[in-house]
Amino acid sequence: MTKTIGIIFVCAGFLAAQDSVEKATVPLHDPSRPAKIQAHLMTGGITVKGYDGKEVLVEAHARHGGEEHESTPARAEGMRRLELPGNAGLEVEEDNNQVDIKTSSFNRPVDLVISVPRKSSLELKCLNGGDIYVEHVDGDIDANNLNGKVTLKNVSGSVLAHSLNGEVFVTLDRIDPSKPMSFSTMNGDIDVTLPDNFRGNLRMKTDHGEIFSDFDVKIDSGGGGITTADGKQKDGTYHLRFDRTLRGTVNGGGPEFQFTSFNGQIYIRKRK
Amino acid sequence: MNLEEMIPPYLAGQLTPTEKARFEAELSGNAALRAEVEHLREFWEALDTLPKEQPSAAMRARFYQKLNELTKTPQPKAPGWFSKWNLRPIQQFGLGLVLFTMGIFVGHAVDSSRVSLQIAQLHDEVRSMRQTVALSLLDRQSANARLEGVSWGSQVERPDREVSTALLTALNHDANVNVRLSSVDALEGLAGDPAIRSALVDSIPTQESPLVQIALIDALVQIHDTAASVELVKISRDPAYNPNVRQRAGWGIQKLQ
Repeated sequence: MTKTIGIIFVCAGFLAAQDSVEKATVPLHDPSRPAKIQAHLMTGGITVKGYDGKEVLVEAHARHGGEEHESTPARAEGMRRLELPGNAGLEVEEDNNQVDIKTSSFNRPVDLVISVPRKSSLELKCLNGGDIYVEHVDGDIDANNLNGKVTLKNVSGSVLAHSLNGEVFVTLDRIDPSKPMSFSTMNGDIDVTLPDNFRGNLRMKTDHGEIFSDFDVKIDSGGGGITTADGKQKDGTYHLRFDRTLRGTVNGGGPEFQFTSFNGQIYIRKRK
Repeated sequence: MNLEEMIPPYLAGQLTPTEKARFEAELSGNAALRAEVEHLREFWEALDTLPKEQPSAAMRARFYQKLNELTKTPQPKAPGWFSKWNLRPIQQFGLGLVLFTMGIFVGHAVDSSRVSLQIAQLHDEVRSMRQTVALSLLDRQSANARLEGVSWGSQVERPDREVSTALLTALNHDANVNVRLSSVDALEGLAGDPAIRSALVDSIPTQESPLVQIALIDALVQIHDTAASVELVKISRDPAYNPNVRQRAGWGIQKLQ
Protein backbone atom coordinates (compact mmCIF):
# COMPACT_ATOMS: atom_id res chain seq x y z
CA MET A 1 0.00 0.00 0.00
CA THR A 2 1.33 3.35 -0.87
CA LYS A 3 1.17 5.98 1.76
CA THR A 4 0.96 9.58 0.91
CA ILE A 5 2.57 11.86 3.36
CA GLY A 6 1.64 15.46 3.19
CA ILE A 7 3.77 17.79 5.20
CA ILE A 8 2.66 21.32 5.65
CA PHE A 9 5.02 23.83 7.10
CA VAL A 10 3.17 26.96 7.70
CA CYS A 11 4.87 30.20 6.90
CA ALA A 12 4.76 32.64 9.73
CA GLY A 13 4.03 36.24 9.33
CA PHE A 14 1.15 36.43 6.92
CA LEU A 15 -1.13 37.21 9.80
CA ALA A 16 1.49 38.23 12.31
CA ALA A 17 0.36 41.80 12.35
CA GLN A 18 -2.81 40.98 14.31
CA ASP A 19 -2.67 38.04 16.58
CA SER A 20 0.31 35.94 15.52
CA VAL A 21 -1.98 33.27 14.12
CA GLU A 22 -0.71 30.53 11.88
CA LYS A 23 -3.29 28.48 10.02
CA ALA A 24 -3.25 25.21 8.19
CA THR A 25 -6.00 23.34 6.36
CA VAL A 26 -5.30 19.66 6.16
CA PRO A 27 -7.22 17.43 3.73
CA LEU A 28 -7.50 13.83 4.84
CA HIS A 29 -6.16 10.92 2.83
CA ASP A 30 -9.57 9.19 3.05
CA PRO A 31 -12.34 11.45 4.40
CA SER A 32 -14.74 8.49 4.68
CA ARG A 33 -12.66 7.03 7.49
CA PRO A 34 -12.23 8.68 10.92
CA ALA A 35 -9.24 10.95 11.35
CA LYS A 36 -6.71 10.48 14.09
CA ILE A 37 -5.39 13.72 15.51
CA GLN A 38 -2.23 13.89 17.56
CA ALA A 39 -1.27 17.18 19.19
CA HIS A 40 1.59 17.66 21.61
CA LEU A 41 2.39 20.98 23.26
CA MET A 42 5.07 22.11 25.67
CA THR A 43 3.45 25.36 26.71
CA GLY A 44 -0.05 26.41 25.86
CA GLY A 45 -3.51 24.94 25.60
CA ILE A 46 -5.36 22.83 23.07
CA THR A 47 -8.96 23.34 21.96
CA VAL A 48 -10.55 20.77 19.67
CA LYS A 49 -14.02 21.18 18.17
CA GLY A 50 -15.88 18.66 16.08
CA TYR A 51 -17.59 20.16 13.03
CA ASP A 52 -19.48 18.97 9.95
CA GLY A 53 -16.57 19.05 7.59
CA LYS A 54 -14.04 16.78 5.96
CA GLU A 55 -10.82 18.66 6.63
CA VAL A 56 -8.76 19.33 9.71
CA LEU A 57 -8.30 23.03 10.36
CA VAL A 58 -5.46 24.05 12.62
CA GLU A 59 -4.82 27.46 14.12
CA ALA A 60 -1.83 28.23 16.27
CA HIS A 61 -2.12 31.40 18.36
CA ALA A 62 1.17 32.52 19.76
CA ARG A 63 0.55 34.43 22.96
CA HIS A 64 2.16 37.79 23.49
CA GLY A 65 3.84 36.26 26.46
CA GLY A 66 6.25 39.07 27.34
CA GLU A 67 3.97 42.05 27.41
CA GLU A 68 1.76 41.35 30.40
CA HIS A 69 4.32 39.59 32.51
CA GLU A 70 7.61 41.36 32.04
CA SER A 71 7.85 44.92 33.18
CA THR A 72 9.31 47.35 30.75
CA PRO A 73 12.93 48.06 31.70
CA ALA A 74 13.57 51.51 33.12
CA ARG A 75 15.93 52.30 30.28
CA ALA A 76 13.08 51.77 27.82
CA GLU A 77 11.34 54.83 29.22
CA GLY A 78 9.51 56.61 26.45
CA MET A 79 10.19 53.85 23.96
CA ARG A 80 7.89 51.42 22.21
CA ARG A 81 8.45 47.65 22.21
CA LEU A 82 9.09 46.28 18.75
CA GLU A 83 7.56 42.79 18.71
CA LEU A 84 9.65 39.93 17.49
CA PRO A 85 7.84 37.93 14.83
CA GLY A 86 5.29 35.79 16.64
CA ASN A 87 6.51 32.53 15.34
CA ALA A 88 4.40 29.68 16.66
CA GLY A 89 6.38 27.27 14.49
CA LEU A 90 3.33 25.26 13.61
CA GLU A 91 4.10 21.92 12.00
CA VAL A 92 1.35 19.69 10.66
CA GLU A 93 1.85 16.33 9.05
CA GLU A 94 -0.79 14.08 7.52
CA ASP A 95 -0.10 10.42 6.88
CA ASN A 96 -2.95 8.11 5.94
CA ASN A 97 -5.60 9.99 7.96
CA GLN A 98 -3.30 10.53 10.93
CA VAL A 99 -2.63 14.20 11.55
CA ASP A 100 0.33 15.12 13.75
CA ILE A 101 0.40 18.66 15.08
CA LYS A 102 3.42 20.18 16.78
CA THR A 103 4.83 23.57 17.50
CA SER A 104 8.48 24.34 17.67
CA SER A 105 8.06 27.46 19.78
CA PHE A 106 9.93 27.39 23.05
CA ASN A 107 10.06 31.04 23.94
CA ARG A 108 6.34 31.70 24.14
CA PRO A 109 3.13 29.80 24.81
CA VAL A 110 1.12 28.70 21.80
CA ASP A 111 -2.57 27.87 21.93
CA LEU A 112 -3.85 25.41 19.35
CA VAL A 113 -7.41 25.60 18.07
CA ILE A 114 -8.24 22.57 15.95
CA SER A 115 -11.48 21.88 14.06
CA VAL A 116 -11.92 18.23 13.20
CA PRO A 117 -14.56 16.07 11.50
CA ARG A 118 -16.87 14.80 14.26
CA LYS A 119 -15.75 11.19 13.80
CA SER A 120 -12.17 11.59 14.89
CA SER A 121 -9.86 10.08 17.45
CA LEU A 122 -7.68 12.38 19.52
CA GLU A 123 -4.40 12.09 21.34
CA LEU A 124 -3.72 15.38 23.12
CA LYS A 125 -0.83 16.22 25.40
CA CYS A 126 -0.05 19.45 27.24
CA LEU A 127 2.61 20.14 29.77
CA ASN A 128 2.38 23.70 31.01
CA GLY A 129 0.40 26.85 30.84
CA GLY A 130 -2.77 25.68 29.25
CA ASP A 131 -5.95 23.65 29.38
CA ILE A 132 -7.29 20.95 27.13
CA TYR A 133 -10.81 21.58 25.89
CA VAL A 134 -12.68 19.25 23.53
CA GLU A 135 -16.27 19.34 22.32
CA HIS A 136 -18.52 17.38 19.93
CA VAL A 137 -15.99 14.73 18.98
CA ASP A 138 -16.93 11.07 18.57
CA GLY A 139 -14.06 8.57 18.81
CA ASP A 140 -11.26 7.35 21.03
CA ILE A 141 -10.19 10.36 23.07
CA ASP A 142 -6.95 10.34 25.01
CA ALA A 143 -6.21 13.62 26.81
CA ASN A 144 -3.26 14.25 29.11
CA ASN A 145 -2.36 17.47 30.85
CA LEU A 146 0.29 18.06 33.44
CA ASN A 147 -0.69 21.33 35.04
CA GLY A 148 -3.94 22.39 33.44
CA LYS A 149 -7.52 21.24 33.29
CA VAL A 150 -8.92 18.59 30.99
CA THR A 151 -12.47 19.37 29.84
CA LEU A 152 -14.26 17.09 27.38
CA LYS A 153 -17.76 18.35 26.68
CA ASN A 154 -20.49 16.45 24.81
CA VAL A 155 -18.11 13.88 23.48
CA SER A 156 -18.88 10.29 22.47
CA GLY A 157 -16.91 7.09 22.15
CA SER A 158 -14.32 6.20 24.76
CA VAL A 159 -12.22 8.44 26.98
CA LEU A 160 -8.90 8.31 28.77
CA ALA A 161 -8.35 11.56 30.64
CA HIS A 162 -5.56 12.51 32.99
CA SER A 163 -4.36 15.66 34.62
CA LEU A 164 -1.73 15.71 37.29
CA ASN A 165 -2.65 18.97 38.93
CA GLY A 166 -5.86 20.01 37.27
CA GLU A 167 -9.51 19.05 37.19
CA VAL A 168 -10.86 16.37 34.89
CA PHE A 169 -14.33 17.28 33.64
CA VAL A 170 -16.02 14.99 31.11
CA THR A 171 -19.56 14.77 29.76
CA LEU A 172 -20.25 11.81 27.51
CA ASP A 173 -23.33 11.85 25.26
CA ARG A 174 -22.90 8.33 23.93
CA ILE A 175 -20.37 5.72 24.84
CA ASP A 176 -18.79 2.79 23.08
CA PRO A 177 -20.37 0.00 25.16
CA SER A 178 -17.45 -2.39 24.83
CA LYS A 179 -14.59 -0.15 25.83
CA PRO A 180 -13.08 0.52 29.25
CA MET A 181 -12.42 4.12 30.29
CA SER A 182 -10.13 5.77 32.76
CA PHE A 183 -10.13 9.17 34.47
CA SER A 184 -7.35 10.21 36.79
CA THR A 185 -5.89 13.22 38.57
CA MET A 186 -3.53 13.67 41.44
CA ASN A 187 -4.70 16.97 42.84
CA GLY A 188 -7.90 17.87 41.05
CA ASP A 189 -11.51 16.75 41.11
CA ILE A 190 -12.96 14.24 38.67
CA ASP A 191 -16.42 15.11 37.37
CA VAL A 192 -17.80 12.67 34.81
CA THR A 193 -21.29 12.59 33.31
CA LEU A 194 -22.36 9.32 31.67
CA PRO A 195 -25.52 8.24 29.79
CA ASP A 196 -28.06 6.95 32.32
CA ASN A 197 -28.22 3.50 30.67
CA PHE A 198 -24.49 2.88 30.57
CA ARG A 199 -23.26 -0.44 31.95
CA GLY A 200 -19.95 -0.67 33.69
CA ASN A 201 -17.79 -2.00 36.46
CA LEU A 202 -16.58 0.99 38.45
CA ARG A 203 -13.27 1.16 40.26
CA MET A 204 -13.10 4.36 42.26
CA LYS A 205 -10.27 5.54 44.41
CA THR A 206 -9.53 8.76 46.18
CA ASP A 207 -7.33 9.14 49.20
CA HIS A 208 -8.24 12.51 50.58
CA GLY A 209 -11.51 13.09 48.82
CA GLU A 210 -14.98 11.63 48.65
CA ILE A 211 -17.02 9.91 45.97
CA PHE A 212 -20.51 11.01 44.90
CA SER A 213 -22.91 9.56 42.36
CA ASP A 214 -26.59 9.67 41.43
CA PHE A 215 -26.27 6.30 39.67
CA ASP A 216 -27.52 3.23 41.49
CA VAL A 217 -24.05 1.83 42.20
CA LYS A 218 -24.07 -1.74 43.52
CA ILE A 219 -21.01 -1.90 45.72
CA ASP A 220 -19.04 -5.17 45.69
CA SER A 221 -18.68 -6.25 49.28
CA GLY A 222 -16.14 -8.94 48.45
CA GLY A 223 -13.10 -8.67 46.24
CA GLY A 224 -9.99 -6.80 47.13
CA GLY A 225 -11.63 -3.84 48.84
CA ILE A 226 -11.46 -5.18 52.35
CA THR A 227 -8.75 -7.34 53.76
CA THR A 228 -7.84 -8.48 57.17
CA ALA A 229 -5.16 -6.72 59.09
CA ASP A 230 -2.01 -8.56 60.00
CA GLY A 231 -3.38 -11.85 58.71
CA LYS A 232 -6.18 -12.02 61.27
CA GLN A 233 -9.23 -14.04 60.37
CA LYS A 234 -12.03 -12.43 58.46
CA ASP A 235 -14.56 -13.09 61.22
CA GLY A 236 -12.50 -11.08 63.68
CA THR A 237 -13.07 -7.42 64.38
CA TYR A 238 -9.86 -6.31 62.68
CA HIS A 239 -11.25 -5.74 59.23
CA LEU A 240 -9.29 -2.90 57.85
CA ARG A 241 -9.68 -1.13 54.60
CA PHE A 242 -6.07 -0.88 53.46
CA ASP A 243 -7.01 -0.15 49.94
CA ARG A 244 -9.11 2.94 49.36
CA THR A 245 -10.50 1.38 46.20
CA LEU A 246 -14.26 1.09 45.94
CA ARG A 247 -15.62 -1.38 43.41
CA GLY A 248 -19.17 -1.49 42.16
CA THR A 249 -21.38 -2.09 39.15
CA VAL A 250 -23.90 0.10 37.37
CA ASN A 251 -26.82 -1.36 35.38
CA GLY A 252 -25.56 -4.90 35.80
CA GLY A 253 -21.92 -4.26 35.02
CA GLY A 254 -19.83 -4.04 31.86
CA PRO A 255 -16.42 -2.76 30.88
CA GLU A 256 -14.17 -1.25 33.49
CA PHE A 257 -14.46 2.44 34.41
CA GLN A 258 -11.56 3.60 36.53
CA PHE A 259 -11.67 6.82 38.55
CA THR A 260 -8.47 7.65 40.38
CA SER A 261 -7.75 10.76 42.40
CA PHE A 262 -5.50 11.41 45.32
CA ASN A 263 -6.52 14.75 46.75
CA GLY A 264 -9.71 15.43 44.83
CA GLN A 265 -13.37 14.53 44.90
CA ILE A 266 -15.01 12.16 42.44
CA TYR A 267 -18.43 12.93 40.94
CA ILE A 268 -20.12 10.38 38.70
CA ARG A 269 -23.26 11.90 37.25
CA LYS A 270 -26.24 10.70 35.26
CA ARG A 271 -26.72 12.56 32.00
CA LYS A 272 -30.03 14.38 32.23
CA MET B 1 -29.92 -33.35 -25.75
CA ASN B 2 -27.03 -35.01 -27.52
CA LEU B 3 -27.41 -37.15 -30.59
CA GLU B 4 -27.48 -40.50 -28.79
CA GLU B 5 -30.17 -39.27 -26.44
CA MET B 6 -32.19 -38.23 -29.47
CA ILE B 7 -32.31 -41.74 -30.95
CA PRO B 8 -35.17 -43.16 -28.84
CA PRO B 9 -37.48 -40.15 -29.28
CA TYR B 10 -36.63 -40.17 -33.02
CA LEU B 11 -37.65 -43.81 -33.34
CA ALA B 12 -40.79 -43.16 -31.28
CA GLY B 13 -41.60 -40.14 -33.46
CA GLN B 14 -41.52 -37.76 -30.48
CA LEU B 15 -39.06 -35.16 -31.83
CA THR B 16 -40.23 -31.68 -32.79
CA PRO B 17 -40.02 -30.93 -36.53
CA THR B 18 -36.89 -28.79 -36.13
CA GLU B 19 -35.19 -31.41 -33.95
CA LYS B 20 -36.17 -34.10 -36.39
CA ALA B 21 -34.73 -32.11 -39.32
CA ARG B 22 -31.50 -31.52 -37.43
CA PHE B 23 -31.22 -35.17 -36.46
CA GLU B 24 -31.85 -36.43 -39.98
CA ALA B 25 -29.29 -34.00 -41.41
CA GLU B 26 -26.79 -35.37 -38.92
CA LEU B 27 -27.84 -38.91 -39.72
CA SER B 28 -27.12 -38.61 -43.43
CA GLY B 29 -23.51 -37.63 -42.85
CA ASN B 30 -22.78 -39.86 -39.83
CA ALA B 31 -22.36 -43.59 -40.63
CA ALA B 32 -21.78 -44.60 -37.00
CA LEU B 33 -24.94 -42.90 -35.88
CA ARG B 34 -26.85 -44.48 -38.73
CA ALA B 35 -25.63 -47.95 -37.69
CA GLU B 36 -26.64 -47.23 -34.09
CA VAL B 37 -30.13 -46.14 -35.13
CA GLU B 38 -30.57 -49.19 -37.32
CA HIS B 39 -29.42 -51.48 -34.55
CA LEU B 40 -31.85 -49.96 -32.09
CA ARG B 41 -34.70 -50.02 -34.58
CA GLU B 42 -34.21 -53.76 -35.20
CA PHE B 43 -34.16 -54.39 -31.45
CA TRP B 44 -37.38 -52.46 -30.90
CA GLU B 45 -39.11 -54.21 -33.77
CA ALA B 46 -38.01 -57.58 -32.37
CA LEU B 47 -39.56 -56.61 -29.02
CA ASP B 48 -42.88 -56.02 -30.77
CA THR B 49 -42.86 -59.58 -32.21
CA LEU B 50 -42.61 -61.24 -28.76
CA PRO B 51 -45.87 -63.03 -27.73
CA LYS B 52 -47.77 -61.38 -24.91
CA GLU B 53 -47.84 -63.50 -21.71
CA GLN B 54 -51.34 -64.36 -20.57
CA PRO B 55 -51.93 -65.26 -16.88
CA SER B 56 -53.17 -68.84 -16.62
CA ALA B 57 -56.43 -69.69 -14.81
CA ALA B 58 -54.49 -71.50 -12.08
CA MET B 59 -52.44 -68.40 -11.33
CA ARG B 60 -55.57 -66.28 -10.94
CA ALA B 61 -57.00 -68.84 -8.44
CA ARG B 62 -53.76 -68.92 -6.40
CA PHE B 63 -53.72 -65.11 -6.20
CA TYR B 64 -57.25 -64.80 -4.83
CA GLN B 65 -56.69 -67.62 -2.36
CA LYS B 66 -53.68 -65.79 -0.90
CA LEU B 67 -55.62 -62.55 -0.74
CA ASN B 68 -58.50 -64.17 1.18
CA GLU B 69 -56.15 -65.72 3.73
CA LEU B 70 -54.69 -62.32 4.55
CA THR B 71 -57.96 -60.40 4.85
CA LYS B 72 -60.22 -62.91 6.61
CA THR B 73 -57.91 -64.38 9.24
CA PRO B 74 -55.74 -61.60 10.65
CA GLN B 75 -52.54 -62.66 12.34
CA PRO B 76 -53.10 -63.04 16.12
CA LYS B 77 -50.88 -60.76 18.26
CA ALA B 78 -48.01 -62.37 20.02
CA PRO B 79 -49.15 -63.03 23.58
CA GLY B 80 -47.00 -61.88 26.57
CA TRP B 81 -46.60 -59.17 29.21
CA PHE B 82 -45.31 -56.65 26.73
CA SER B 83 -48.62 -56.50 24.89
CA LYS B 84 -50.45 -55.64 28.11
CA TRP B 85 -48.45 -52.42 28.39
CA ASN B 86 -50.35 -51.18 25.42
CA LEU B 87 -53.52 -51.15 27.47
CA ARG B 88 -52.15 -49.30 30.53
CA PRO B 89 -50.91 -45.84 29.62
CA ILE B 90 -50.06 -44.96 33.22
CA GLN B 91 -47.71 -47.88 33.57
CA GLN B 92 -46.31 -47.09 30.18
CA PHE B 93 -45.63 -43.57 31.30
CA GLY B 94 -44.05 -44.89 34.51
CA LEU B 95 -41.73 -47.15 32.58
CA GLY B 96 -40.77 -44.28 30.32
CA LEU B 97 -39.94 -42.14 33.32
CA VAL B 98 -37.83 -44.85 34.93
CA LEU B 99 -35.94 -45.45 31.70
CA PHE B 100 -35.46 -41.72 31.23
CA THR B 101 -34.07 -41.27 34.75
CA MET B 102 -31.80 -44.26 34.32
CA GLY B 103 -30.68 -42.80 31.04
CA ILE B 104 -29.67 -39.58 32.72
CA PHE B 105 -27.63 -41.37 35.36
CA VAL B 106 -26.04 -43.75 32.94
CA GLY B 107 -25.36 -40.93 30.56
CA HIS B 108 -23.78 -38.93 33.34
CA ALA B 109 -21.58 -41.77 34.47
CA VAL B 110 -20.45 -42.50 30.95
CA ASP B 111 -20.20 -38.94 29.74
CA SER B 112 -19.14 -36.83 32.69
CA SER B 113 -15.45 -37.35 32.07
CA ARG B 114 -15.86 -36.42 28.43
CA VAL B 115 -18.03 -33.39 29.23
CA SER B 116 -15.66 -32.08 31.84
CA LEU B 117 -12.84 -32.55 29.37
CA GLN B 118 -14.80 -30.55 26.83
CA ILE B 119 -15.47 -27.83 29.40
CA ALA B 120 -11.78 -27.75 30.26
CA GLN B 121 -10.92 -27.47 26.58
CA LEU B 122 -13.43 -24.68 26.14
CA HIS B 123 -11.99 -22.96 29.18
CA ASP B 124 -8.52 -23.23 27.70
CA GLU B 125 -9.74 -21.85 24.41
CA VAL B 126 -11.35 -18.86 26.10
CA ARG B 127 -8.19 -18.31 28.09
CA SER B 128 -5.92 -18.41 25.07
CA MET B 129 -8.37 -16.24 23.10
CA ARG B 130 -8.31 -13.62 25.86
CA GLN B 131 -4.53 -13.76 25.92
CA THR B 132 -4.34 -13.25 22.19
CA VAL B 133 -6.75 -10.33 22.32
CA ALA B 134 -4.89 -8.78 25.26
CA LEU B 135 -1.50 -9.10 23.57
CA SER B 136 -2.67 -7.67 20.27
CA LEU B 137 -4.44 -4.74 21.94
CA LEU B 138 -1.48 -3.98 24.20
CA ASP B 139 0.60 -3.56 21.07
CA ARG B 140 -1.63 -0.91 19.55
CA GLN B 141 -0.82 2.72 18.99
CA SER B 142 -4.05 4.01 20.52
CA ALA B 143 -3.96 4.35 24.31
CA ASN B 144 -7.70 3.54 24.42
CA ALA B 145 -6.95 0.20 22.75
CA ARG B 146 -4.05 -0.48 25.12
CA LEU B 147 -6.30 0.21 28.12
CA GLU B 148 -8.69 -2.35 26.65
CA GLY B 149 -5.73 -4.73 26.33
CA VAL B 150 -4.88 -4.34 30.03
CA SER B 151 -8.53 -4.99 30.86
CA TRP B 152 -8.51 -8.21 28.79
CA GLY B 153 -5.20 -9.22 30.32
CA SER B 154 -6.61 -8.86 33.83
CA GLN B 155 -9.41 -11.28 32.90
CA VAL B 156 -7.04 -14.11 31.96
CA GLU B 157 -6.75 -16.78 34.62
CA ARG B 158 -3.18 -17.95 35.16
CA PRO B 159 -1.83 -15.94 32.21
CA ASP B 160 1.22 -17.09 30.31
CA ARG B 161 4.55 -15.42 30.85
CA GLU B 162 3.98 -13.55 27.60
CA VAL B 163 0.90 -11.78 28.98
CA SER B 164 2.40 -10.93 32.36
CA THR B 165 5.48 -9.60 30.57
CA ALA B 166 3.28 -7.46 28.32
CA LEU B 167 1.47 -6.10 31.39
CA LEU B 168 4.81 -5.31 33.05
CA THR B 169 5.94 -3.57 29.88
CA ALA B 170 2.74 -1.54 29.98
CA LEU B 171 3.39 -0.64 33.62
CA ASN B 172 6.97 0.47 33.00
CA HIS B 173 6.94 1.89 29.50
CA ASP B 174 3.45 2.86 28.41
CA ALA B 175 3.29 6.54 27.49
CA ASN B 176 -0.16 6.91 29.02
CA VAL B 177 -0.67 7.39 32.77
CA ASN B 178 -4.13 5.79 32.73
CA VAL B 179 -2.84 2.65 31.03
CA ARG B 180 -0.02 2.40 33.58
CA LEU B 181 -2.49 2.86 36.45
CA SER B 182 -4.74 0.16 35.09
CA SER B 183 -1.83 -2.25 34.64
CA VAL B 184 -0.97 -1.87 38.36
CA ASP B 185 -4.39 -3.32 39.18
CA ALA B 186 -4.04 -6.12 36.64
CA LEU B 187 -0.62 -7.07 37.99
CA GLU B 188 -1.85 -6.95 41.59
CA GLY B 189 -4.02 -9.92 40.65
CA LEU B 190 -0.90 -11.85 39.56
CA ALA B 191 1.07 -11.09 42.71
CA GLY B 192 1.19 -14.78 43.63
CA ASP B 193 4.25 -14.85 41.38
CA PRO B 194 7.33 -13.59 43.32
CA ALA B 195 8.83 -12.26 40.08
CA ILE B 196 5.79 -10.02 39.61
CA ARG B 197 5.99 -8.81 43.22
CA SER B 198 9.61 -7.77 42.87
CA ALA B 199 8.86 -6.19 39.49
CA LEU B 200 6.19 -4.04 41.17
CA VAL B 201 8.73 -2.89 43.77
CA ASP B 202 11.37 -2.16 41.13
CA SER B 203 8.89 -0.15 39.12
CA ILE B 204 8.28 2.56 41.75
CA PRO B 205 11.50 4.56 41.22
CA THR B 206 11.12 4.43 37.44
CA GLN B 207 7.64 5.96 37.41
CA GLU B 208 7.38 9.67 36.69
CA SER B 209 3.77 10.02 37.85
CA PRO B 210 3.22 10.17 41.62
CA LEU B 211 -0.26 8.77 41.04
CA VAL B 212 1.22 5.54 39.64
CA GLN B 213 3.81 5.41 42.42
CA ILE B 214 1.06 5.65 45.04
CA ALA B 215 -0.97 2.96 43.25
CA LEU B 216 2.10 0.69 43.34
CA ILE B 217 2.66 1.29 47.05
CA ASP B 218 -1.03 0.55 47.69
CA ALA B 219 -0.80 -2.67 45.66
CA LEU B 220 2.24 -3.85 47.60
CA VAL B 221 0.48 -3.16 50.90
CA GLN B 222 -2.63 -4.88 49.58
CA ILE B 223 -0.75 -8.08 48.72
CA HIS B 224 1.20 -7.73 51.96
CA ASP B 225 4.61 -7.93 50.35
CA THR B 226 6.84 -7.47 53.42
CA ALA B 227 9.92 -7.59 51.21
CA ALA B 228 8.87 -4.21 49.82
CA SER B 229 9.54 -2.47 53.15
CA VAL B 230 13.19 -1.87 52.34
CA GLU B 231 12.35 0.02 49.18
CA LEU B 232 9.52 1.91 50.92
CA VAL B 233 11.93 3.10 53.63
CA LYS B 234 14.25 4.41 50.91
CA ILE B 235 11.39 6.21 49.22
CA SER B 236 10.10 7.76 52.42
CA ARG B 237 13.53 9.30 53.03
CA ASP B 238 14.28 10.42 49.50
CA PRO B 239 13.42 14.10 48.98
CA ALA B 240 13.39 13.57 45.21
CA TYR B 241 10.01 11.92 45.55
CA ASN B 242 6.72 13.80 45.66
CA PRO B 243 5.81 14.51 49.33
CA ASN B 244 2.52 12.62 48.94
CA VAL B 245 4.42 9.57 47.71
CA ARG B 246 6.89 9.75 50.61
CA GLN B 247 4.02 10.03 53.05
CA ARG B 248 2.30 7.07 51.41
CA ALA B 249 5.48 5.01 51.61
CA GLY B 250 5.70 5.79 55.34
CA TRP B 251 2.12 4.63 55.77
CA GLY B 252 2.93 1.46 53.81
CA ILE B 253 5.90 0.64 56.05
CA GLN B 254 3.60 0.73 59.10
CA LYS B 255 1.03 -1.51 57.43
CA LEU B 256 3.65 -4.05 56.37
CA GLN B 257 5.18 -4.39 59.83
